[in-house]
Amino acid sequence: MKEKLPILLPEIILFGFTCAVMVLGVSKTLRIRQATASIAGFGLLIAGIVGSMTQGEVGAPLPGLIPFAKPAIAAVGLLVLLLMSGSVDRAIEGRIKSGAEAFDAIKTNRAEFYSFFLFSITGLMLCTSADDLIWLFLALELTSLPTYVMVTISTRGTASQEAGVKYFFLGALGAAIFLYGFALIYGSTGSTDLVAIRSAVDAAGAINPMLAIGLLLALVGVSFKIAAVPMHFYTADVYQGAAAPVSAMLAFVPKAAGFFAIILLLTTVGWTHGPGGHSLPEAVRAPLWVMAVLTMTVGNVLALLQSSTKRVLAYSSIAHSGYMLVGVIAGPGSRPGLAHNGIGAVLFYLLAYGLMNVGAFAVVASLERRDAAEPTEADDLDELRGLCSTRPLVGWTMVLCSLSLLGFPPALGFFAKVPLFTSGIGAGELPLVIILGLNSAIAAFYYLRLAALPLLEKADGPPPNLSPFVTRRIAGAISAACAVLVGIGANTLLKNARQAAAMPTEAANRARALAAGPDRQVSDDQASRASIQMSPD
Amino acid sequence: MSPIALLSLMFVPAASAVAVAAAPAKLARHIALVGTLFAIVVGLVALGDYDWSRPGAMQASGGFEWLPELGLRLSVGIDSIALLLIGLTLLLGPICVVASRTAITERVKTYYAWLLVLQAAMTGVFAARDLVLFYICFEFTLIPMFILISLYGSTNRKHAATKFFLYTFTGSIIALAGLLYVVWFNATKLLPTAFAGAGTWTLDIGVLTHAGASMSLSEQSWVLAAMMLGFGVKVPLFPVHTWLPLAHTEAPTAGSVILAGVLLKLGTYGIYRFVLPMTPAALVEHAHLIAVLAIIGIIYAGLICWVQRDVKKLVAYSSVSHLGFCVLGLVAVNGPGLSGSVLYMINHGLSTGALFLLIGMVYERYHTRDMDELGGLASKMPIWSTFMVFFVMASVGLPGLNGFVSEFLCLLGAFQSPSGLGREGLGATPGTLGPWFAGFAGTGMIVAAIYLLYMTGRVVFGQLKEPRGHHAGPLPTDLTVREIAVLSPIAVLCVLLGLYPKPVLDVVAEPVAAQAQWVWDHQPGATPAHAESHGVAAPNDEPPGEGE
Amino acid sequence: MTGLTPVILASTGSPAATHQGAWWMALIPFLPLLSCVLCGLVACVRPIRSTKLPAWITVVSLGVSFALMLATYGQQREGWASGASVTTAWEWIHLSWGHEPGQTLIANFGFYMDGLSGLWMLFVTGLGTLIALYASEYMAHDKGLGYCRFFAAFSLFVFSMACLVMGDNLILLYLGWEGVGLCSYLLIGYFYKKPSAVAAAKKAFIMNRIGDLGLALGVMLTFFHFGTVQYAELFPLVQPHIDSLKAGRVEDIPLLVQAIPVLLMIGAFGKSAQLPLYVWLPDAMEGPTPVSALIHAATMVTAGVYLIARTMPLFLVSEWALPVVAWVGALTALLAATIGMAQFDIKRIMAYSTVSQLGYMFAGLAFLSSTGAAFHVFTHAFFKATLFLCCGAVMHGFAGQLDLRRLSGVMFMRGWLIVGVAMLVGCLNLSGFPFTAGFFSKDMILAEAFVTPGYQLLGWILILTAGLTAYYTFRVFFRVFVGPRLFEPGDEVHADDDHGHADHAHDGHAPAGDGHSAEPPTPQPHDADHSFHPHPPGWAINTVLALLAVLSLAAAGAYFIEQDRHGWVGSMVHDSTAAQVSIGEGEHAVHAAAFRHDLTHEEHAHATLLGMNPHDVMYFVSAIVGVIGILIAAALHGPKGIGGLMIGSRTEAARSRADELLPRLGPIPRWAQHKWFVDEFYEFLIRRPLYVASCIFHLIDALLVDGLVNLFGWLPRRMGKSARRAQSGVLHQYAGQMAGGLVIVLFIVLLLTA
Repeated sequence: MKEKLPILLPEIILFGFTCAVMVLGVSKTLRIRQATASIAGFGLLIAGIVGSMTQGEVGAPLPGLIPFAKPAIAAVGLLVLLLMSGSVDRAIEGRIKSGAEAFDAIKTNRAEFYSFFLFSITGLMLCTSADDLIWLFLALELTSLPTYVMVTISTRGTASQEAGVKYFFLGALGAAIFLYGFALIYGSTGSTDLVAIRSAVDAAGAINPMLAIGLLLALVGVSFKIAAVPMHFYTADVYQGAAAPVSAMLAFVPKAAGFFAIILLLTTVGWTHGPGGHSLPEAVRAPLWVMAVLTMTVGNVLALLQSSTKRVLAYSSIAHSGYMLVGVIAGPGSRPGLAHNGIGAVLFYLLAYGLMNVGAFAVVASLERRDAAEPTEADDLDELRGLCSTRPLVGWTMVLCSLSLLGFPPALGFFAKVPLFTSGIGAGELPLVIILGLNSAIAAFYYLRLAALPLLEKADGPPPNLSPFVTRRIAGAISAACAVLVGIGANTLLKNARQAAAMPTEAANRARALAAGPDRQVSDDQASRASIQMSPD
Repeated sequence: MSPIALLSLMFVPAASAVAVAAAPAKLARHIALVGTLFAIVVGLVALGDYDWSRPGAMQASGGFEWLPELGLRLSVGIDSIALLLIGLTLLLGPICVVASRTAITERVKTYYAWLLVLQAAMTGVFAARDLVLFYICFEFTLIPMFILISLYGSTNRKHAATKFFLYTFTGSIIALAGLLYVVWFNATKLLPTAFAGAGTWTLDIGVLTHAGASMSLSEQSWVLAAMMLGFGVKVPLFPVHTWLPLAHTEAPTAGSVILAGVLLKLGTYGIYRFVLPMTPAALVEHAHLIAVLAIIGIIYAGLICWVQRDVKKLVAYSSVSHLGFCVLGLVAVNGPGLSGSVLYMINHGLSTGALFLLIGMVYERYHTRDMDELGGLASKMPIWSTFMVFFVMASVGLPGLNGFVSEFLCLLGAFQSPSGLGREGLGATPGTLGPWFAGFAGTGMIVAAIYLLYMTGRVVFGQLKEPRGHHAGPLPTDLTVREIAVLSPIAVLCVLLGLYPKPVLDVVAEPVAAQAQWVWDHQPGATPAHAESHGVAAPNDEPPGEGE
Repeated sequence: MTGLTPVILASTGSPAATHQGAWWMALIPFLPLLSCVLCGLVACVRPIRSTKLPAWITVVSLGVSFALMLATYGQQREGWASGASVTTAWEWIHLSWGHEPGQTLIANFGFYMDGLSGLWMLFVTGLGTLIALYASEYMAHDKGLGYCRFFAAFSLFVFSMACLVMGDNLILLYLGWEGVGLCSYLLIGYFYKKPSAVAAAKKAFIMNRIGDLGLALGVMLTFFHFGTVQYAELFPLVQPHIDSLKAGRVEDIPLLVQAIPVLLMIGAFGKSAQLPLYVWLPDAMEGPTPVSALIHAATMVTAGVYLIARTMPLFLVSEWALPVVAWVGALTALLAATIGMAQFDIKRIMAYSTVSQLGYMFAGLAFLSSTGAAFHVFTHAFFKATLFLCCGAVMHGFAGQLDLRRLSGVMFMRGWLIVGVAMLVGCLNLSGFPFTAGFFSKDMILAEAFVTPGYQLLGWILILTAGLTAYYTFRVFFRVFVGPRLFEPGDEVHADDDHGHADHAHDGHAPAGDGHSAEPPTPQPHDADHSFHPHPPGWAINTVLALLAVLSLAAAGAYFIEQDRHGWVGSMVHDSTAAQVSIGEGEHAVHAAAFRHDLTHEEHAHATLLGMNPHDVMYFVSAIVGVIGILIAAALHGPKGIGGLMIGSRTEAARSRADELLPRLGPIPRWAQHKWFVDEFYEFLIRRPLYVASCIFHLIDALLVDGLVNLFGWLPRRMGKSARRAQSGVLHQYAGQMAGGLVIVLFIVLLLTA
């Protein structure tokens, strides 16, 4: 187990910072308390940098995933963190400042909030290095459990408590389902190691019904994390109930965890046992296909009807999961190159989606209702009217991010969608691609509205107040800049996404299977030989 | 001509747009005018070393890597057809700026900035040699147009803008899927030995043209259907035309001018550049279907014009009718048809653009376009009326003015590409249309006369009829010098192209002949002998418009 | 395709050989164009706008054109026998998509001058100059923008007509063809404030467009089959078909070739106002009278005749074309004459007579008498211009009065003698009075009807029509120009001015309802209305009328020159493509195609009418018919004691003896007066249904086509509404739905793995 420690270095670092945040967050000194967010950010930064230098284990299901995914997670996490400033303890800190109340560690939430955030990110990072069902389960739960609390404490209103309860119960149901699925997978293959399961499947030449059912239970359960049909029902209620920064986090962290999990789970059956030899086994592909179509369609059509910005974004996040499922179905493709690689496309899309999506939520987080007694997010679509002239930074953030989310060229979202298109076509999923295209067109309707309201409409009354937390707007601006300035550095990201999605070669698999076998001692030269044989793509 | 020059044709308007956005509002108009004029100057300077002896070749081609992971290059290049259309775009730039002077008084900066962005995007469409670059520019025209319509349009503008956006966006996404299929086909199904660029992931339009032509008939048919959906909406082809009248009616004058002048041409240009060479077999297989749609559009939209009361809507529907001729010429796939079509793209841009300008001028004065409220303007606005009759005649296709040559050639193209009867005629070319198609399409000439003269008879001639409380604006009754200056260059071009189209036909002939040759050479079972009988010898197996 | 290729090579040196024309020949069309531009410029310059400058520009440029045409004639007349002379101004359409024959479309601004175009151009420019001179006075009340507009359009018309006639290819002909249509549109609609003028202009343009489509398709078919539209290349290519015809192998002529003339003649019918496209011409009288004279009588409407004459070789090889032309021509002649008999508006009567005479010309063409047709065009141009200009003078002088029931004895009023004499000359010509030009030209056609087998019936129809023509022509003359001096001014009288006002519609036919009212109006005697004095024509009008009257008589002279070649006109026609196809040595082209009717030349010569040579007997027949027509007109409409013959009886303007006879004919006169309800028929059968169809299309577009699109926009919304029901916000429902979804997924898996 010792050799795994270097791989886990980022998580370990994050854990250290989590502990620091937990302690420092209840400090009596205001300055120290206020520094917790910065400390958390620093931790993320270091974890990200370390993550980018970490190589995955040779023979892991997706050996290249870590150096791409961990910095990406850290980057989006940093953006979310910027957004989170002021989410908790705003009122009580104000009272403490004015001297109306003395500091009481019990009454503040800051420490819990930031440490849970880091815990959740840690869980997400752990997902990327998972090669075992147990590990995967733990990582997923570590990702999710803190978010239940964060949703609940994100605002002082009852709406977030209700959201938290819903999220928790339904999340538990989802967890139960995929845990049962994991059990069935183990039962049918006798192993919890993903690569070993793969070997068993390859040896059998086909998947048996029990494995199929187990896998599907696991997939459906995990699809709660990505908010895919049929596990999507909670999404809008929870996103709306939670504060916008937390919603932004929910739209990325659990979703990313879910997609990592789905991809890892699917590596056990591989994209080689289906018809034509380049697709998932039909028993897996067909339900996934249906789920993908339903997910994007349901998300889009429901988003059409909303009048709350957060709900629009919530439903659109469902739709984006649907788009990404197309890449999952397409799989790694039979040829090198990102354009053929659905997994790479999904990974890149996750990053792109995370970046753009923060911007959209940042707009909601940056605006406060003018007439409310307590600071309340300006969540109504109508409140976006005329923002480009009244609140230019926020307004343009919304315009650019929503066009990018729509996938309008030449924004980031477009370049994220192109590989999904091409890999889908490459995998012969032309109908799915057409449905994806049509769904983009449906999405155009509400994204266009999100873009047109700030840019083209005239405000009815005075514009909503700006939130006092500047970092929220900065987060939005960074996100918008990422969405538009895609020309710079995007190629590196695309390349990394491609490398991250590289599947291990047969030789590497064999070496790994050997290692996972009765004799777990893997000689160094064996591993290095395997790594030499790894295809560069 | 260097690729830098081409890219700067996109860059100049884009930079001017930034300048407009940055400068104070009262300078916006001037900066925009200088920007568009400067773009023309850049274009003319760049034209200095254009090699007129090789109009079919892609000149000024080259580019830079952009996203090599996706195969995306910033690569450009133009043949004479793209050159002509870029010329049209450049020409309409200052005209639109000058024409908007009195019409746009609010949010001036936004207006001119987006107008300039639009010009940059349109230039990009014609200059692009990379599929995704093409698509990016193609799509990006939607945003400025959406903004122009929904900010500066008339009463129902938001609905119109949204419909315009969603309609064309939907179509082009499907087209993108079709085009990407070709890309994928090239990368995976072709052996690298087939031709340069085969078997690799590339978005180069030239390579993809080769690749598309190698697809099987059924594959081509699917790709054709996808592409026609995208480009057909843009053209617009019956029955996917209904966004156009709405968008035109609501758009501001300059918006309509650009919409009719250039944006619709993106569709026909797309058909010319992609559908024809990439799916030659499927195109010939289904040419008669497309032609039937085009002819239905010609007659159906023409008759609808007749019952319009809104002058602008009438002219908008007439675009549907007119572009039917253009598509008909394209699917005839022979020398006259294709040349006629290309010429038609230019001519329609000029004459219909001018009609929209004229209607805009009346609208600025009377704030109505309703033929029940307006009439007999000849006695009040003689100069306007003269221009109106002139451009109506250009639009009707009167010989001696620009519309005729192109219309005649389109019809001739359809006429002489028979599927059976009379193939032995000296002027006959291979084809699947024939005299019947030309005959039915030709009735569009009569219908055009009916509705345009009906409009002229009501608006220009007859007893003077003005809406009550009209004309409170600062403009004099008849046209101002500025307005005459806007219309005159178009009028001069109409006459020039009508009486002396030879320069244009000359530069168009070669690429067009190569295009037709390419299509017929790539029919299932086509033999070199068959190709030879078709005309221009093809010394090498270059796709149309390839090579520097 | 292969079989024809050698012909092109062989064609050099054949009768179609052309020679280079003088460069200044191109000035003939372009001077009028220049004049058009200049008139436009004058309109832009305020100080000179209201002078007569546009008129003088036009007259001078047309005059110079005419002079150039005369010079061309003098210089090239001899050369035309061996081929046309061609001057190319510039390359217009030149498109090549291959190197083989038929893969290059060439249509230049090239001018082709042979006998036929020379003939046409002579009277187009000559008459054009005269009529422009006339118009300079006639339109003087409208000085200013309208005046400029008039003369600009007038000049543009001459340019277009010149392109039509002189174009060396079918596409340039088409340019002129549509160009004259445009000018006709602009000039008919000259009084654009009058709804009827606007409507008439529109009708003319659209009717012409229908014909133009036929012509355009004909041109395309020509190119399609022969691979060229240039006369110099085209006609030699027709020769093989003529040869197969000669050899009796009609089946060798492709059907497509036979279809070409059918399409071309649709164009000719439109432009020359033949059945069924004639209805625009009478309405075209809404235009100023000089326009009616030049465009709608003398020149433009003969374009159809020119077209068929020009492409005669193509018509010859078609089995159907010429018979159709013959029947259409003859029936149009008869129909128009019957309508003309019942009209009251003198300008309209002239319009119908034009339609009728054009019918003769078409019949003449169909009888393979291109010479007869051309001769009739030639004489008709002069006498019809005379007639129209006389009508115009009357109209000008009597404030727009055109109703023959409200005018009488005009000739004997002071200052009106020249008009009256000119009118008499015109009427005599039109009714084919012996030894007038019209007499000879009409006879040529009539006689040919009887020598061409199968057309005897048409010959009789045409003779009958000649009688009717004489009747209605002199009906006008007797009622308006002789008899008691009575008049009633038209509706353009102004208290302060007896001219029409510039802003007021000047021309136009008599008051509404006129010509349809059963009750004739009562004209006021001259001295009863002191506020109005007729306005006798000035020097320009008088000069022109006198000149034209002389010319229309002198035109007969053309018959006697070069008698061996059917007169001067015949010799001109012979030296053109109309006769280019020959069947042998030394034979007359006009008879060249007699073989088409399975006749030998000998048989042709021996065809008889009433046992004699038709060419001789026709002089008598037609003279007698014409005189009878005139006598009947005199008896029914002539003033009391006319010429001492005591056959007339009319003592007042409004009534004549004819009115007593008419009721006995039942409804027929009324129907004729209503133009046999053809307009109504078209309205009911074509325009109305088309309009209804347009409305239906409009609805379909809004409801069905756009509705379908909106449905696609509505569908996601609808789906959203359905899906929303699942979003109840209730926890246990969510859980249940999730479980349900899971079950479905598992069901799919079981289905697929089982």
